[in-house]
Amino acid sequence: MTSRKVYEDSFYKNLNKLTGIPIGKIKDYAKENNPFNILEHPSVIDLTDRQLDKINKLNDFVSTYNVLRMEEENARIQITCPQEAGDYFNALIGNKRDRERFMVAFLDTSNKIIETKMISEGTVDSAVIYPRDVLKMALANDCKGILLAHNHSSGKMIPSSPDIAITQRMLNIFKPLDIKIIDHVIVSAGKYVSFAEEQMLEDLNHELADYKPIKLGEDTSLEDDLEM
Amino acid sequence: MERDNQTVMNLIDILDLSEKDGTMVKDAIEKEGLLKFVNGKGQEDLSDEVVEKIGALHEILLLVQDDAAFLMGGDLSDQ
Repeated sequence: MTSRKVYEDSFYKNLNKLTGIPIGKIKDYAKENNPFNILEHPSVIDLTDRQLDKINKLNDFVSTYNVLRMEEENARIQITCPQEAGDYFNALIGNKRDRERFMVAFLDTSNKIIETKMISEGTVDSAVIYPRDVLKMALANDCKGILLAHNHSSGKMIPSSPDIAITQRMLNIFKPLDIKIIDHVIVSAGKYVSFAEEQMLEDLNHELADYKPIKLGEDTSLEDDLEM
Repeated sequence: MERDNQTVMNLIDILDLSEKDGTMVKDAIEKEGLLKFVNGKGQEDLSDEVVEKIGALHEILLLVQDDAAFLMGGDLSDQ
């Protein structure tokens, strides 16, 4: 038996034990597909409400476990480069491909994370961000820097117009407050793209702050979003 | 702290624990911390059935970490 087969069988058996999804059903799906899709896109197979609830809780547990592991390695996580930001948010939302999630990490003067918050959980390709919420949390944390992140459920690693627009909006809001937008990373399945690394932050000019909600999405046009 | 409580509640639900087992698990996590607990610490007083379920969860956590290798279609014996 190859180690790959052992690996697969172990996943089927354990997933069945924890969620009650019949092994036969998991195997049938896995004949033609990556079985991990069942965790990442639970809707790919028919599940009972209870099984779906368990999968969602299992996903949340996996994310928390990953972050705790990182926190243990470094009592308070310090983000010193885009790669670390990418790794951090991949651990949190990189494998969640059912919908877009927008998160923000609030940092102290040495770029150590004070707190990380889920700002918005949207649909498969969009999420609505309320800058007021981010501002309130930033002030509550007395942060000096902000790290923006969201996942692209499609796996496409190219910033969309709305991605650029939300970054611009956050820069406009926080620059007058002396709170630096350190980076905006887009993550998916272990990969990341960083606005800082791509030198896209420097290209965004400072404009007047605008607190209206903005819809983040991969396919909508910038103009549509700014009309919200 | 809020996150920790929610995580423990999720764990109890994922494992389908009785009230008694749930309390024992909560106490063990409080004593050992979640990471050490999931990795096997503080499970001595738990029933075989509960320990087996935690083992299944631990394996899934490890498998998910290796997901990238799995997606690449590689044979893990190469690694």
